[in-house]
Amino acid sequence: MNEALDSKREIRSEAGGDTLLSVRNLEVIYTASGQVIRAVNGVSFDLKRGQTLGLVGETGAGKTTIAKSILRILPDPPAKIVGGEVRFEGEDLLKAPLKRMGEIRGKKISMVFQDPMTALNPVLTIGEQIEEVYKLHEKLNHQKAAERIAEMLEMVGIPSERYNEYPHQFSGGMKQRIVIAMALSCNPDLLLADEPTTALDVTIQAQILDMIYKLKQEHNMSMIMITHDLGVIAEVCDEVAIVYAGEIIEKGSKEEIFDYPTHPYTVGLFNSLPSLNSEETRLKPIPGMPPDASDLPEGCHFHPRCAYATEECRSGRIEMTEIRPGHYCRCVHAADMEARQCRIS
Amino acid sequence: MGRYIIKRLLMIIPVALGVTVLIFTIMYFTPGDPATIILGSNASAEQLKQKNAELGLDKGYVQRLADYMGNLILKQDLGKSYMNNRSVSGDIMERFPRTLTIAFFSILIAIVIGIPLGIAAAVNHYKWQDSIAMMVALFGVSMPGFWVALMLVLLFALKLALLPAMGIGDGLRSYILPCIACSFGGLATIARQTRSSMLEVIRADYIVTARAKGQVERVVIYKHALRNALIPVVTDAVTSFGLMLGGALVIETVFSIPGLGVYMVTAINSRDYPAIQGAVIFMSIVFSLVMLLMDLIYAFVDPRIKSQYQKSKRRIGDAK
Repeated sequence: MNEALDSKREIRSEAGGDTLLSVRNLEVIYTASGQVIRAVNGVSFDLKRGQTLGLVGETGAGKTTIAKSILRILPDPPAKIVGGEVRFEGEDLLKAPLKRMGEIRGKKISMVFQDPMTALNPVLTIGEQIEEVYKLHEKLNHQKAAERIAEMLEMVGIPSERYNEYPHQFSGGMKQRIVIAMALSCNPDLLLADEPTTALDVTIQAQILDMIYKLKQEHNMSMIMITHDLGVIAEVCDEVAIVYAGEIIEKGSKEEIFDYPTHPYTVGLFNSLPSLNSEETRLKPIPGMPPDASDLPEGCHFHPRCAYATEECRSGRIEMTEIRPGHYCRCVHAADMEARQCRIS
Repeated sequence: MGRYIIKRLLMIIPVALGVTVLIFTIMYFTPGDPATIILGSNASAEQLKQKNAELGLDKGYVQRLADYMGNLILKQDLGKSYMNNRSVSGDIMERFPRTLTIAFFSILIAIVIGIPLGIAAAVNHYKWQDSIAMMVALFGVSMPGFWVALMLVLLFALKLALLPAMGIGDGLRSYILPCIACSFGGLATIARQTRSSMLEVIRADYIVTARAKGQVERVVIYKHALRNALIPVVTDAVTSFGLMLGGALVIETVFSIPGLGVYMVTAINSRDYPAIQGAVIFMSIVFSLVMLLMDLIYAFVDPRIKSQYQKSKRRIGDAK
């Protein structure tokens, strides 16, 4: 008991006091027909209270898997968390009993999913679905829960009279608001937002992002925003981590990453954004395809697509190095790349 | 909703009339002569002719159809059986409750055991529970009904002397073995259907949402997943219920239960036209009602289907 407390304290002091979530060397595999797919390979990051971390990467990079392993809601089988630690307020969630996870899910950490069309249960009214959260975590009776739900719905801009309607009676944007209302109903400390706007059209995207940001500020929540949209990151995040083939390859403050992108992949991501100022008529994609996670390239997983790859990149594990204060990059040429950046700017 | 039900009930009338004409026509063209069957092969031509006239079989197709339809529509009379000269509708109403009892309880057993079995298999996909449940299901579909029935009789009636072996003299107790024997096939199908349907639903996003809320696993499975997985299971269960209402011939024969199945087959063998036609018309109405019941259960299970029915009601309302 004392040991546990001590280790909690240790973690707290080590992480600077207000670290809410600390993920260390997280490893997740999927097993499919005898093949092992290494979806997450040793991911580590910290998140401070009230801050927003953006996880950026291509489809299949492992962003969603990272978020779902924090809540331990990956489908098992085929997914399995094989290593690492997820410390939330000092407690290792990967070792917590399922009952404890039930108390944390929805109450302390909640999640907004990518596709609002399928995230709500079609046979239950939205009221019933939100009510579950209150019944589970705040032990409210039907009457009290109904009042709170009405409040929540109004907060996200859904008329509270629609409490008794079914998901199919709402539009996509409204469904996502309902999902968000459900996620925020117990004022969680941490919100995992998994591409909350990808399935929505651009005007609705802006509304939803504004709303999430506003609610986050009001409740002093921390948030992990998963997206492949750099515009979204620029708008809502404090910290950014770039994910490639199940690894974080670059992380730092939003300003650092946007002003000094260093890893060739990150640079490629920024270059692939069309610019309104230039005369370019063609997009500049990163050549090649994301690697097959069941057969990752040796060494730096990005080397087959990288213009700067040398012999060093082809073997061994590439370690994260701090190239500027608070700015980490997993590239053997980080120093050269940085010099190049400076020359460009 | 009420309007929808009334509409569906009215639809049964043309269906039943169509079935009447069809079965009448088929029986008209079916070879075999009731008079010969009734009087035996030794009867003289004169006797046969007289019998045919007595039964009204000497008239043409149109005349006979018109007579039959006339009786049916104006007097709600299905005629008298050639064999025992009793009213067909009376016979059917006497036998139907027995068939209904067997159908109802065997489908109930199938549902009560089959659905939890399917859920257990799906939730423990590829684990030992899954293998056992699927093995039970495999046995259920593979064992022929008459064999199961005979084994049950051997064990419970002869060896243990707990239950009657045949007949309906013992009230509901006489129905226990027939119902169990009759439930095996349905149980197996329902278990397999529930399993595959649940496996699909369990991977759905809203199930992850429910877990992410912190909901306990039991509620996730029974409240969130099961209701979504139920539609194909309802289809299966209600369809086999409807079919069983037509009489479980094998089971009725093994247990000597005078139900609709045996009645039908006897009537067909003796070319008892009024009895065959009466039974078929009756079954078509019963089956239509069962299908309506199925659609109502759909609406109850899935609000999206319910809203479709209500939409059709609104359209009718708008047209006025």
